[in-house]
Amino acid sequence: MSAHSCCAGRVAENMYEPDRTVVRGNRVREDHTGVDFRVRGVTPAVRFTSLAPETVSWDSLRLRCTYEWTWLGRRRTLRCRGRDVGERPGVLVSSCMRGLSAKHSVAETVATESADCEREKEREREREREKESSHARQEGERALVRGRDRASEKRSSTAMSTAASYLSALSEADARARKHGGTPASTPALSMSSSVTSSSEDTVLHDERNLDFTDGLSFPRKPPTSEQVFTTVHAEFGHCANEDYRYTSQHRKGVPYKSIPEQDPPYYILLTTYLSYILVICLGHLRDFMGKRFRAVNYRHLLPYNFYLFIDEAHSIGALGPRGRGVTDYFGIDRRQVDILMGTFTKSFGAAGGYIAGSKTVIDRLRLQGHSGVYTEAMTPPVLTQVIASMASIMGVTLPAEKPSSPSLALLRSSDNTPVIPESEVIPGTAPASALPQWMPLSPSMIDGSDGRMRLRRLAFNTRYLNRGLRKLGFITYGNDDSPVVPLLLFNPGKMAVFSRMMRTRATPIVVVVVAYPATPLVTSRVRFCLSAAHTKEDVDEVLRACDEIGDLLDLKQASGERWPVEEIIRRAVELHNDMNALEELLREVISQGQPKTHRPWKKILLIVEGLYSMEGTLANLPVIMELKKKYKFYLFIDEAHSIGALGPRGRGVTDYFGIDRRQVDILMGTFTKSFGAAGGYIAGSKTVIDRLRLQGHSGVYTEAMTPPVLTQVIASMASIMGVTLPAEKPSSPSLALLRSSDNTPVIPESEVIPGTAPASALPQWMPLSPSMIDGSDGRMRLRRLAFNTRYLNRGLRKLGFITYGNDDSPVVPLLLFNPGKMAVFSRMMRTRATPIVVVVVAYPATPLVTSRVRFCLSAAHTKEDVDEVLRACDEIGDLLDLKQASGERWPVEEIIRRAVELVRMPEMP
Amino acid sequence: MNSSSQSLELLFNFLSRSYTTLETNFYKIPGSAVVARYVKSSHQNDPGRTLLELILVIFAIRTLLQSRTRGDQSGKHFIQFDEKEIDELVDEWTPEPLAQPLSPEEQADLASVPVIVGPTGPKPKLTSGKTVTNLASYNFTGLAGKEEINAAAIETLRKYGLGSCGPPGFYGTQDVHIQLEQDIADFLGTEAAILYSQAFSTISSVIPAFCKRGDIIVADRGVNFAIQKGLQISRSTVRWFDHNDMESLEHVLESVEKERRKRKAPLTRRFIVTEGIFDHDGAMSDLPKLVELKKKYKYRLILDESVSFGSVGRTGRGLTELYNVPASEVDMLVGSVANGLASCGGFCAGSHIVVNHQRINGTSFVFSAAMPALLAVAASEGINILRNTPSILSTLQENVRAVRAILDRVDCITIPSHPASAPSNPMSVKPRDPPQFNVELEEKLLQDVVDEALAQGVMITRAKRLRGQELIEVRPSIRLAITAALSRKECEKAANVVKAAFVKVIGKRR
Repeated sequence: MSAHSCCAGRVAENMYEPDRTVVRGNRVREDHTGVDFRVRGVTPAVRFTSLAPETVSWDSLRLRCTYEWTWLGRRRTLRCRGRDVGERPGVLVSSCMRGLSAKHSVAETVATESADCEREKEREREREREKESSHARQEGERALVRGRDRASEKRSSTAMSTAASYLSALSEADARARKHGGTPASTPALSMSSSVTSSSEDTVLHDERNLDFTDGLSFPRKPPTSEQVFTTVHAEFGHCANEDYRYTSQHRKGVPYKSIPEQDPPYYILLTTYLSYILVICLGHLRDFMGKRFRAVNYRHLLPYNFYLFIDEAHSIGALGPRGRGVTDYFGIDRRQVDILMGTFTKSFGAAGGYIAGSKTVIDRLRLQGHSGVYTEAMTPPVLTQVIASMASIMGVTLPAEKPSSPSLALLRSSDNTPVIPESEVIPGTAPASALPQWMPLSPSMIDGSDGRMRLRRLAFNTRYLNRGLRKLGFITYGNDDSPVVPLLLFNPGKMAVFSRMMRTRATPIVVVVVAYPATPLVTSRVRFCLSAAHTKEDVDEVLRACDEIGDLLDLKQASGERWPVEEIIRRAVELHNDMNALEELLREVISQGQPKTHRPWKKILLIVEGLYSMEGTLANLPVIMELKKKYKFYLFIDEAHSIGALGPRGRGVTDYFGIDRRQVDILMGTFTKSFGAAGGYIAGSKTVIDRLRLQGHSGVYTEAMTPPVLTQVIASMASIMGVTLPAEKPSSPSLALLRSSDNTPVIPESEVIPGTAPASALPQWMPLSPSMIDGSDGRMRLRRLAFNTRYLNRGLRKLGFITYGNDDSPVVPLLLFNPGKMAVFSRMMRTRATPIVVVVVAYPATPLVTSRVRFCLSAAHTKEDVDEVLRACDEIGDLLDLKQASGERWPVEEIIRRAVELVRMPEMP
Repeated sequence: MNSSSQSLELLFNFLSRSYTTLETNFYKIPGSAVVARYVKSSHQNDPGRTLLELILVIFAIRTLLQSRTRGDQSGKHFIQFDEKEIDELVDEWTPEPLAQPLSPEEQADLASVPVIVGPTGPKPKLTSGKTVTNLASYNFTGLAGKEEINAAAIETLRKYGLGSCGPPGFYGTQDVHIQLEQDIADFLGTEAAILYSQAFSTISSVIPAFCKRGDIIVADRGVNFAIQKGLQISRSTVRWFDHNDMESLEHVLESVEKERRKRKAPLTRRFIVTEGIFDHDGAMSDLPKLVELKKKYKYRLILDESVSFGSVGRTGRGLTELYNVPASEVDMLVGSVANGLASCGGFCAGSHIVVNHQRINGTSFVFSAAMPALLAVAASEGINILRNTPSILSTLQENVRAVRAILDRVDCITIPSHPASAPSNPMSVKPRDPPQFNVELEEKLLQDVVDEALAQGVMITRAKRLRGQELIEVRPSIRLAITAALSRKECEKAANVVKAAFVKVIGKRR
């Protein structure tokens, strides 16, 4: 135990998550990976952190069983009954019930079994015994030597003749575990318990009094009906037989896809969000204030003194002024009067590094004593050449009368007699050709400086156009009309993420930088557009259109003065343009222009999108992308890590959701870790692509192969989603049949969009096939339950008044908390409820600074009662923490729970 | 008339009034008197000059406005098309296929991959129904298919289910993972260890977790592909030393130090990256010398023991046990659970600081889902077996010696891997004196050898590499992986088959 907990503590101290207090010492999961699991030292918790809509456990596949419950008042005794399911006899495994076995007593069993399942039970029994005895020995130091002891254990060979005896053995073990007290560390039926023998019956009676049933996890709050019990699939899968609690996740055909606009919290929430920051800032200022007065020696850097002028031209050099010489050029100031001019080569000159310019004394001093002159590595020649070339193209080049012997020597010579520029001339003219490498081709446009001027003028046009356009639209912007950095004020920090995301998720994605405190003053959060001479007018048009739309939505147009509609601005700027969205425009430009300089056509274009964006819960707009794909013939790569097995009526991911033929998608990528509860991932595509990957992909050649259990899990869970086609005749060996079928790969007719069921030959022969699995109703039920849960939680939270992001059908539900201080509290309050709920809270830097959030990951194994419980918990905690900030109609939580089905079925939520 | 003169008078009045207000306002502006005086005087002296200046001002305003309003669309390389032309171009454009279809050679290459039916191990069954002797799998200690491991894994599966459904940081860590990390750390004698869920991504995640831009890495030229990727991702300055040449290493370390002193550059973090036993050719690093050099020049050592962990040393602890160097001397000891313990994934062992740093900065650790619980338990079980049965490793060494004894006598091949005096796996065999260094021809020859051996019931493999993606093009070779699960007799028999295949194929060509 000590080894475990110390490790756990160590892990926790690493602060993966912002709320370290919540998880300290409790991060290690001891139990199976289903929905319920035990956090060490804490009671079982409903898990809302895993991305699996369901986890198909080994047990469930091998041993299917049904249960009958009898609810005997306070005693809550479970009555189990083994049943035949399908062709194979069922074997009772009490561990299958979720956390129930610790308190159940077996009343009767119906023993129907064949020889092979007897063998199974025998093994179970053996394991049971081994564990019991080894546990007895290991009480104190069980952690380290567990494996070895087990290996050296002498195996018991008691044969169990009937299921009844097996079952009673199990229940005995459970009873002992209970008698021993403490939280069972593992699934109770297989728990390591002591070797005390006692009758199960009176243990149950005895323990009933001490046990606490209020957590809602050991037992459902409402006693299930027997019908419900008979439809239970397996251990981790919550009981839910109500067919109303199902939904199909599908995009309605013909309806344009639009994501739900995000809401912003009221000002006082932001106010309180900032209050914490303000507190810290005030303390800091107080400290400075006192420090400056009482400990001046340490605060000298804050005290004022007579100054020399030091201009940082990082953003203006090469961008401002008629000759691109920066802000001094713009104002026509003699730059010799500025003591130190600093600039960077990274921005306008497209290189790296920076410079300091000033009087010779200053520079000489810097050369001798500046850090960079003494310690840092010198700039590399290619970088310098880039700087020289780009400067020359802005300045123009003076061709020499005669060729100097060597360019670098000439340069050195010229640097000897430094003051080559006459004192009177404010702006030096052109660059001497001798400063450029000899091999550099000098185009005429570069020599006369027209290339540089053209660039400067294009930039100047873009900046004025965007600046004035935005202002005409009614936005508040800061700064000069000629500044190439255009800050558009959002004020409300909540709008930052929204703005950025909306820009990014437009048909023409626009990437902008949103900045907030501490980079800006606290209230003036802003978007920063950085313009370049390389932007075309169409680019700026698109930005204006985007801002116009988003500005309307976010209510950003707060400036006074005359306003123009966006199209007028675009028209009046230069000329008429078609209203095309930017992806299309980009494609058109890329295809028509071809490769830079050579204008050769591009060989291929690959568009990479994510099916379901995991932090936001938004979906890629596939219908539009597919239309564009037809026209522009680009290749499409969809990352379905979060959507496969979770979205769509048949669980085939985002393509299924939108009803798109997935043969038209060139590469589909997904993971097995989430929906399929296994490990690894896949790439799907045409045979050519896959063959090429097999030969030349890294993982085909260098990495280890996936292990058989993992693959079996994937196959089984896929088959349970797909359904199984039983073969007409039995193949000789399952794996051989699989290999044979892979020879003639195109088993699926081209016409069929969704392949039907999995061939039974793909499954291991020993795998029991229940009827519900064969006809795929099991998989469909799971998908529909997940879809119901997803929509219910999404809409329920919204109806409660919470602000959530993303699509209603996204199984990842982000609930916004905003205030970072609330994160830890939320997580702790959820975990310490009577029914503990485990959630993941995420904050900066995984999200924008202000939009700290909780992420609920739903599973098909959750029942409606589980979601009810989450809603109740959120309701209470939301009231306490003041999280319900969304506008719109609200329902009380009980009404939501009552009208759940109605809520889910609504086509659009009002 | 009267009315018009009246209205004119009004106008004049208005004009004069506005002129006076303008004048007073103008003179209110500081410095305006100077301007007025200048204009007045210049006008008195030369009325033409006033006109000229006025024209100049108008011209300046005009040019200024012009330059700001006319969009300059014609970039240097931008061609203006109208919409119709673009539509035509779009219709015309046909992309290349996403992937080229396989050539017949490539198809043959893909088809030559044998598929095992049922469990893998020393004697697996192939799809052809034939049972063969396996000298291809990295199953040195014969842990694959051990009863004890299988039993433990199945039991874990029952208890834990399969997947972990989350990265280690987000409720993906289970007690068995912590247990395995502890087991590995205890087994090697380091402070701690961290578990990765894929062997390949372990080292390529460990290197960039520590080495950043500006740091110096001194690496062996013959390192495996995963290390090459790691070096690439780290963006550090990489200096190469000759393959497995300690003198070259010292030389490089010396020159790096000299250069630093010369440039007076600041001290950065510095690392030596190399492998214990090289995946490419089976050569073995001289660990004591490495440790000595690293201490002398103050470097940190990242040692990839993917092959050597679980194959050398008295109980399979790897190079550190073989050379009797404490594992704590190696700063980051990276190993493969997949190779050494016949499970899945990889680990990095080191001090608490090294390990904890990776828990936040190891990309593969942070973003990949944790490994399935049963695989972790299988690995723990494997460590137990290795610990308790040192005979496994001595059998392995005997087998290696036996195979080497036979193959060393074949004169058409060279064996670059470490000589038989010390155990060495894998054995890499290449034809000596090939006709010329022709990669395709040699690969074909070697494939013939592989096919011939398979026909005789011994499964061996070419050392497969991605031609064109590796740092250096290595000569094609055949890779033998000897296992302790075979008896000495079986190994000798298999080696004789391999020998016969070589003699037959390469001898025939001569």
